[in-house]
Amino acid sequence: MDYQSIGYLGAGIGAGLAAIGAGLGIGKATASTVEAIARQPEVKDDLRANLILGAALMEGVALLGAVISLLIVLLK
Amino acid sequence: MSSGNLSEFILHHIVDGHKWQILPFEWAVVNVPAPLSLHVLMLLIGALFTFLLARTAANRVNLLPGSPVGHMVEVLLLYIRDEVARPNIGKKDGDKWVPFLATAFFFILVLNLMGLVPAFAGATANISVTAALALMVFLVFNIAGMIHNGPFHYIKNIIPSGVPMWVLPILVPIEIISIFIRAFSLTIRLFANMTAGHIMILVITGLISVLAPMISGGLHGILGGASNSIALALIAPFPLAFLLFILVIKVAVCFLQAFVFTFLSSLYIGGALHQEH
Repeated sequence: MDYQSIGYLGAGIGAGLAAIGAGLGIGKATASTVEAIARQPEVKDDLRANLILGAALMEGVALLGAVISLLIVLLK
Repeated sequence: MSSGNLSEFILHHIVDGHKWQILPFEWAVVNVPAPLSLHVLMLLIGALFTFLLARTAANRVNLLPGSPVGHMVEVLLLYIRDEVARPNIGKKDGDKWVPFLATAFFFILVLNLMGLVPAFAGATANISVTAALALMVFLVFNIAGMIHNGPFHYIKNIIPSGVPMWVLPILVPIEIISIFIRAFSLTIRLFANMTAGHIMILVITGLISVLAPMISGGLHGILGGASNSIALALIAPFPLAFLLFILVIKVAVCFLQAFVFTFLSSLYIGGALHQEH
Protein backbone atom coordinates (compact mmCIF):
# COMPACT_ATOMS: atom_id res chain seq x y z
CA MET A 1 0.00 0.00 0.00
CA ASP A 2 1.51 3.32 -1.09
CA TYR A 3 1.05 6.73 0.52
CA GLN A 4 -1.68 7.86 -1.86
CA SER A 5 -3.87 4.89 -0.98
CA ILE A 6 -3.47 5.68 2.72
CA GLY A 7 -4.54 9.25 1.94
CA TYR A 8 -7.68 8.03 0.19
CA LEU A 9 -8.37 5.70 3.13
CA GLY A 10 -8.04 8.60 5.55
CA ALA A 11 -10.40 10.75 3.49
CA GLY A 12 -13.01 7.99 3.45
CA ILE A 13 -12.75 7.32 7.19
CA GLY A 14 -12.91 11.06 7.90
CA ALA A 15 -16.10 11.53 5.89
CA GLY A 16 -17.63 8.52 7.63
CA LEU A 17 -16.76 9.80 11.12
CA ALA A 18 -18.22 13.22 10.29
CA ALA A 19 -21.43 11.51 9.18
CA ILE A 20 -21.56 9.47 12.41
CA GLY A 21 -21.22 12.58 14.56
CA ALA A 22 -23.88 14.55 12.72
CA GLY A 23 -26.18 11.53 12.59
CA LEU A 24 -25.99 11.03 16.35
CA GLY A 25 -26.55 14.73 16.99
CA ILE A 26 -29.50 15.22 14.64
CA GLY A 27 -31.03 11.91 15.76
CA LYS A 28 -30.88 12.92 19.42
CA ALA A 29 -32.27 16.40 18.72
CA THR A 30 -35.13 15.11 16.58
CA ALA A 31 -36.01 12.38 19.07
CA SER A 32 -36.17 14.88 21.94
CA THR A 33 -38.24 17.31 19.86
CA VAL A 34 -40.77 14.64 18.84
CA GLU A 35 -41.04 13.52 22.45
CA ALA A 36 -41.57 17.09 23.64
CA ILE A 37 -44.24 17.71 20.98
CA ALA A 38 -46.01 14.49 22.00
CA ARG A 39 -46.08 15.67 25.61
CA GLN A 40 -47.02 19.25 24.86
CA PRO A 41 -48.38 19.81 21.32
CA GLU A 42 -48.99 23.55 21.76
CA VAL A 43 -45.26 24.44 21.69
CA LYS A 44 -44.84 22.81 18.27
CA ASP A 45 -43.98 26.01 16.35
CA ASP A 46 -41.30 27.18 18.79
CA LEU A 47 -39.69 23.76 18.86
CA ARG A 48 -39.67 23.43 15.09
CA ALA A 49 -37.71 26.67 14.59
CA ASN A 50 -35.17 25.60 17.20
CA LEU A 51 -34.88 22.11 15.73
CA ILE A 52 -34.24 23.45 12.22
CA LEU A 53 -31.58 25.84 13.51
CA GLY A 54 -29.86 23.14 15.56
CA ALA A 55 -30.00 20.66 12.70
CA ALA A 56 -28.47 23.23 10.35
CA LEU A 57 -25.63 23.87 12.80
CA MET A 58 -24.91 20.14 13.22
CA GLU A 59 -25.14 19.54 9.49
CA GLY A 60 -22.66 22.35 8.92
CA VAL A 61 -20.02 20.55 10.99
CA ALA A 62 -20.60 17.28 9.11
CA LEU A 63 -20.37 19.06 5.76
CA LEU A 64 -17.14 20.70 6.87
CA GLY A 65 -15.72 17.21 7.44
CA ALA A 66 -17.02 16.03 4.08
CA VAL A 67 -15.52 19.05 2.28
CA ILE A 68 -12.14 18.46 3.92
CA SER A 69 -12.26 14.80 2.85
CA LEU A 70 -13.10 15.85 -0.69
CA LEU A 71 -10.23 18.34 -0.70
CA ILE A 72 -7.88 15.53 0.36
CA VAL A 73 -9.04 13.46 -2.61
CA LEU A 74 -9.28 16.22 -5.23
CA LEU A 75 -6.24 18.35 -4.40
CA LYS A 76 -3.74 15.55 -3.92
CA MET B 1 -14.75 9.46 -17.96
CA SER B 2 -12.03 8.38 -15.58
CA SER B 3 -11.85 9.51 -11.97
CA GLY B 4 -9.21 12.13 -12.90
CA ASN B 5 -11.60 13.67 -15.41
CA LEU B 6 -14.40 13.60 -12.84
CA SER B 7 -12.39 15.59 -10.31
CA GLU B 8 -11.43 18.07 -13.06
CA PHE B 9 -15.10 18.35 -14.02
CA ILE B 10 -16.05 19.07 -10.38
CA LEU B 11 -13.28 21.61 -9.81
CA HIS B 12 -14.03 23.35 -13.10
CA HIS B 13 -17.63 23.98 -12.01
CA ILE B 14 -16.79 25.18 -8.50
CA VAL B 15 -13.58 27.19 -8.74
CA ASP B 16 -13.83 30.86 -9.74
CA GLY B 17 -12.60 31.75 -13.23
CA HIS B 18 -12.82 34.21 -16.07
CA LYS B 19 -14.98 32.16 -18.44
CA TRP B 20 -18.76 32.26 -18.28
CA GLN B 21 -20.36 29.30 -20.06
CA ILE B 22 -23.90 30.40 -20.83
CA LEU B 23 -24.92 27.38 -22.93
CA PRO B 24 -23.22 23.96 -23.03
CA PHE B 25 -21.54 24.67 -26.38
CA GLU B 26 -18.08 25.76 -27.43
CA TRP B 27 -19.27 29.06 -28.91
CA ALA B 28 -21.38 30.09 -25.90
CA VAL B 29 -18.44 30.98 -23.64
CA VAL B 30 -18.15 34.62 -22.64
CA ASN B 31 -14.83 36.02 -21.39
CA VAL B 32 -15.29 37.98 -18.18
CA PRO B 33 -12.96 41.04 -18.28
CA ALA B 34 -10.06 41.28 -15.85
CA PRO B 35 -11.25 43.43 -12.91
CA LEU B 36 -14.27 41.15 -12.59
CA SER B 37 -14.37 37.39 -12.31
CA LEU B 38 -17.21 34.93 -12.78
CA HIS B 39 -18.30 35.03 -9.14
CA VAL B 40 -18.04 38.84 -8.97
CA LEU B 41 -20.27 39.01 -12.05
CA MET B 42 -22.72 36.66 -10.29
CA LEU B 43 -22.62 38.93 -7.21
CA LEU B 44 -23.51 41.94 -9.37
CA ILE B 45 -26.34 40.05 -11.11
CA GLY B 46 -27.57 38.81 -7.73
CA ALA B 47 -27.53 42.34 -6.30
CA LEU B 48 -29.46 43.62 -9.32
CA PHE B 49 -31.99 40.79 -8.99
CA THR B 50 -32.41 41.39 -5.25
CA PHE B 51 -33.02 45.08 -5.94
CA LEU B 52 -35.58 44.30 -8.65
CA LEU B 53 -37.30 41.77 -6.36
CA ALA B 54 -37.64 44.30 -3.55
CA ARG B 55 -38.66 47.06 -5.99
CA THR B 56 -41.39 44.87 -7.52
CA ALA B 57 -42.61 43.80 -4.11
CA ALA B 58 -42.77 47.38 -2.82
CA ASN B 59 -44.63 48.57 -5.91
CA ARG B 60 -48.18 48.65 -4.61
CA VAL B 61 -51.17 50.89 -5.25
CA ASN B 62 -52.55 51.11 -1.73
CA LEU B 63 -51.71 49.27 1.47
CA LEU B 64 -52.59 45.89 0.00
CA PRO B 65 -49.75 43.97 -1.61
CA GLY B 66 -50.36 44.06 -5.32
CA SER B 67 -48.51 41.21 -6.97
CA PRO B 68 -47.66 37.54 -6.26
CA VAL B 69 -44.07 38.70 -5.78
CA GLY B 70 -45.29 41.15 -3.15
CA HIS B 71 -47.09 38.39 -1.24
CA MET B 72 -44.05 36.11 -1.40
CA VAL B 73 -41.64 38.76 -0.15
CA GLU B 74 -44.08 39.93 2.53
CA VAL B 75 -44.36 36.44 4.05
CA LEU B 76 -40.57 36.17 4.37
CA LEU B 77 -40.24 39.74 5.64
CA LEU B 78 -42.89 39.22 8.32
CA TYR B 79 -41.14 36.03 9.38
CA ILE B 80 -37.83 37.89 9.71
CA ARG B 81 -39.50 40.68 11.73
CA ASP B 82 -41.62 38.54 14.05
CA GLU B 83 -39.52 35.39 14.49
CA VAL B 84 -35.95 36.65 14.02
CA ALA B 85 -35.51 40.36 14.80
CA ARG B 86 -38.03 40.95 17.60
CA PRO B 87 -37.27 37.92 19.84
CA ASN B 88 -33.49 38.21 19.45
CA ILE B 89 -32.86 41.97 19.41
CA GLY B 90 -35.88 43.21 21.33
CA LYS B 91 -39.15 44.78 20.25
CA LYS B 92 -37.95 48.41 20.13
CA ASP B 93 -34.51 47.87 18.57
CA GLY B 94 -35.59 44.85 16.54
CA ASP B 95 -37.69 46.84 14.09
CA LYS B 96 -34.74 49.10 13.30
CA TRP B 97 -32.64 46.10 12.31
CA VAL B 98 -35.21 44.44 10.02
CA PRO B 99 -33.91 46.24 6.86
CA PHE B 100 -30.34 45.02 7.41
CA LEU B 101 -31.38 41.45 8.25
CA ALA B 102 -33.84 41.29 5.35
CA THR B 103 -31.20 42.60 2.92
CA ALA B 104 -28.72 39.97 4.09
CA PHE B 105 -31.38 37.25 3.89
CA PHE B 106 -32.61 38.05 0.38
CA PHE B 107 -29.13 38.67 -1.03
CA ILE B 108 -27.80 35.35 0.30
CA LEU B 109 -30.97 33.55 -0.78
CA VAL B 110 -30.71 34.90 -4.33
CA LEU B 111 -27.00 34.01 -4.54
CA ASN B 112 -27.66 30.49 -3.19
CA LEU B 113 -30.49 29.85 -5.63
CA MET B 114 -28.44 31.21 -8.56
CA GLY B 115 -26.05 28.31 -7.95
CA LEU B 116 -28.86 25.92 -8.89
CA VAL B 117 -29.95 27.74 -12.06
CA PRO B 118 -28.25 26.48 -15.23
CA ALA B 119 -25.89 29.01 -16.89
CA PHE B 120 -25.28 30.76 -13.56
CA ALA B 121 -22.62 30.00 -10.95
CA GLY B 122 -23.04 29.86 -7.21
CA ALA B 123 -21.09 32.76 -5.73
CA THR B 124 -21.67 31.58 -2.14
CA ALA B 125 -19.61 28.47 -2.89
CA ASN B 126 -16.60 30.80 -2.91
CA ILE B 127 -15.04 31.32 0.51
CA SER B 128 -14.03 34.92 -0.27
CA VAL B 129 -17.68 35.87 -0.84
CA THR B 130 -18.90 34.28 2.40
CA ALA B 131 -15.92 35.76 4.28
CA ALA B 132 -16.84 39.24 3.03
CA LEU B 133 -20.47 38.75 4.11
CA ALA B 134 -19.39 37.51 7.55
CA LEU B 135 -16.89 40.37 7.90
CA MET B 136 -19.71 42.81 7.22
CA VAL B 137 -21.83 41.24 9.97
CA PHE B 138 -18.80 41.27 12.29
CA LEU B 139 -18.24 45.01 11.74
CA VAL B 140 -21.95 45.76 12.02
CA PHE B 141 -22.52 44.07 15.36
CA ASN B 142 -19.35 45.44 16.92
CA ILE B 143 -19.92 49.02 15.75
CA ALA B 144 -23.62 48.85 16.68
CA GLY B 145 -22.66 47.66 20.17
CA MET B 146 -20.12 50.49 20.50
CA ILE B 147 -22.65 53.12 19.39
CA HIS B 148 -25.40 51.74 21.61
CA ASN B 149 -23.35 51.23 24.77
CA GLY B 150 -20.45 53.59 24.22
CA PRO B 151 -17.06 52.21 23.09
CA PHE B 152 -15.60 51.95 26.57
CA HIS B 153 -18.58 50.21 28.12
CA TYR B 154 -18.90 47.86 25.17
CA ILE B 155 -15.34 46.60 25.54
CA LYS B 156 -15.60 46.52 29.33
CA ASN B 157 -18.85 44.51 29.22
CA ILE B 158 -17.29 41.79 27.07
CA ILE B 159 -15.83 40.55 30.35
CA PRO B 160 -18.65 39.05 32.43
CA SER B 161 -18.99 40.65 35.84
CA GLY B 162 -19.10 38.76 39.14
CA VAL B 163 -16.42 36.19 38.34
CA PRO B 164 -13.45 35.61 40.66
CA MET B 165 -10.26 37.51 39.84
CA TRP B 166 -8.16 34.41 39.14
CA VAL B 167 -10.50 33.22 36.35
CA LEU B 168 -10.04 36.43 34.33
CA PRO B 169 -6.70 35.48 32.66
CA ILE B 170 -8.45 32.46 31.16
CA LEU B 171 -11.84 34.07 30.57
CA VAL B 172 -10.77 37.29 28.81
CA PRO B 173 -8.90 35.59 25.93
CA ILE B 174 -11.76 33.13 25.49
CA GLU B 175 -14.32 35.94 25.30
CA ILE B 176 -12.19 37.89 22.81
CA ILE B 177 -11.59 34.81 20.66
CA SER B 178 -15.29 33.92 20.72
CA ILE B 179 -16.11 37.26 19.05
CA PHE B 180 -13.76 36.48 16.15
CA ILE B 181 -14.92 32.87 15.98
CA ARG B 182 -18.45 34.11 15.26
CA ALA B 183 -17.39 35.68 11.96
CA PHE B 184 -15.28 32.63 11.13
CA SER B 185 -18.11 30.16 11.77
CA LEU B 186 -20.54 32.23 9.68
CA THR B 187 -18.02 32.07 6.81
CA ILE B 188 -17.36 28.35 7.04
CA ARG B 189 -20.98 27.29 7.52
CA LEU B 190 -22.34 29.00 4.41
CA PHE B 191 -19.31 28.08 2.29
CA ALA B 192 -19.22 24.41 3.34
CA ASN B 193 -22.95 23.87 2.90
CA MET B 194 -23.05 25.42 -0.55
CA THR B 195 -19.85 23.76 -1.78
CA ALA B 196 -20.94 20.36 -0.50
CA GLY B 197 -24.29 20.77 -2.24
CA HIS B 198 -22.68 21.69 -5.56
CA ILE B 199 -20.17 18.83 -5.30
CA MET B 200 -23.01 16.42 -4.51
CA ILE B 201 -24.91 17.49 -7.64
CA LEU B 202 -21.79 17.31 -9.83
CA VAL B 203 -20.73 13.90 -8.48
CA ILE B 204 -24.15 12.42 -9.18
CA THR B 205 -24.17 13.94 -12.68
CA GLY B 206 -20.68 12.59 -13.29
CA LEU B 207 -21.80 9.16 -12.09
CA ILE B 208 -23.59 8.66 -15.44
CA SER B 209 -20.41 8.79 -17.47
CA VAL B 210 -18.47 6.81 -14.85
CA LEU B 211 -20.98 3.96 -14.72
CA ALA B 212 -21.83 3.75 -18.43
CA PRO B 213 -18.43 2.35 -19.59
CA MET B 214 -18.72 -0.36 -16.92
CA ILE B 215 -21.79 -1.96 -18.48
CA SER B 216 -20.99 -1.03 -22.10
CA GLY B 217 -18.16 -3.59 -22.04
CA GLY B 218 -20.65 -6.33 -21.17
CA LEU B 219 -23.12 -5.15 -23.80
CA HIS B 220 -20.46 -4.98 -26.54
CA GLY B 221 -20.68 -8.70 -27.31
CA ILE B 222 -24.46 -8.54 -27.88
CA LEU B 223 -24.99 -5.14 -29.46
CA GLY B 224 -21.68 -4.37 -31.14
CA GLY B 225 -20.98 -0.73 -32.09
CA ALA B 226 -24.09 0.83 -30.54
CA SER B 227 -23.28 -0.50 -27.06
CA ASN B 228 -21.88 2.81 -25.75
CA SER B 229 -24.95 4.94 -26.36
CA ILE B 230 -27.32 2.16 -25.24
CA ALA B 231 -25.35 1.75 -22.01
CA LEU B 232 -25.62 5.50 -21.47
CA ALA B 233 -29.38 5.42 -22.03
CA LEU B 234 -29.77 2.44 -19.69
CA ILE B 235 -27.76 3.92 -16.83
CA ALA B 236 -28.75 7.61 -17.09
CA PRO B 237 -32.27 7.50 -15.50
CA PHE B 238 -31.02 6.23 -12.12
CA PRO B 239 -28.55 9.05 -11.31
CA LEU B 240 -30.98 11.61 -12.78
CA ALA B 241 -33.85 10.43 -10.55
CA PHE B 242 -31.56 10.65 -7.53
CA LEU B 243 -30.39 14.07 -8.74
CA LEU B 244 -33.98 15.32 -8.70
CA PHE B 245 -34.30 14.24 -5.08
CA ILE B 246 -31.00 15.97 -4.17
CA LEU B 247 -32.09 19.17 -5.97
CA VAL B 248 -35.29 19.37 -3.91
CA ILE B 249 -33.22 19.07 -0.73
CA LYS B 250 -30.77 21.64 -2.09
CA VAL B 251 -33.50 24.24 -2.60
CA ALA B 252 -34.52 23.71 1.05
CA VAL B 253 -30.87 24.05 2.12
CA CYS B 254 -30.57 27.35 0.20
CA PHE B 255 -33.48 28.82 2.18
CA LEU B 256 -32.24 27.26 5.43
CA GLN B 257 -28.69 28.58 5.14
CA ALA B 258 -29.89 32.09 4.29
CA PHE B 259 -32.17 31.87 7.33
CA VAL B 260 -29.42 30.52 9.60
CA PHE B 261 -27.05 33.31 8.54
CA THR B 262 -29.74 35.93 9.26
CA PHE B 263 -30.74 34.30 12.54
CA LEU B 264 -27.18 34.13 13.86
CA SER B 265 -26.53 37.73 12.74
CA SER B 266 -29.56 38.85 14.73
CA LEU B 267 -28.36 36.87 17.76
CA TYR B 268 -24.95 38.56 17.58
CA ILE B 269 -26.46 42.03 17.10
CA GLY B 270 -28.83 41.42 20.01
CA GLY B 271 -25.94 40.24 22.17
CA ALA B 272 -23.88 43.34 21.31
CA LEU B 273 -26.73 45.78 21.98
CA HIS B 274 -27.98 44.26 25.22
CA GLN B 275 -24.86 43.08 27.01
CA GLU B 276 -25.02 41.66 30.47
CA HIS B 277 -23.86 44.13 33.07
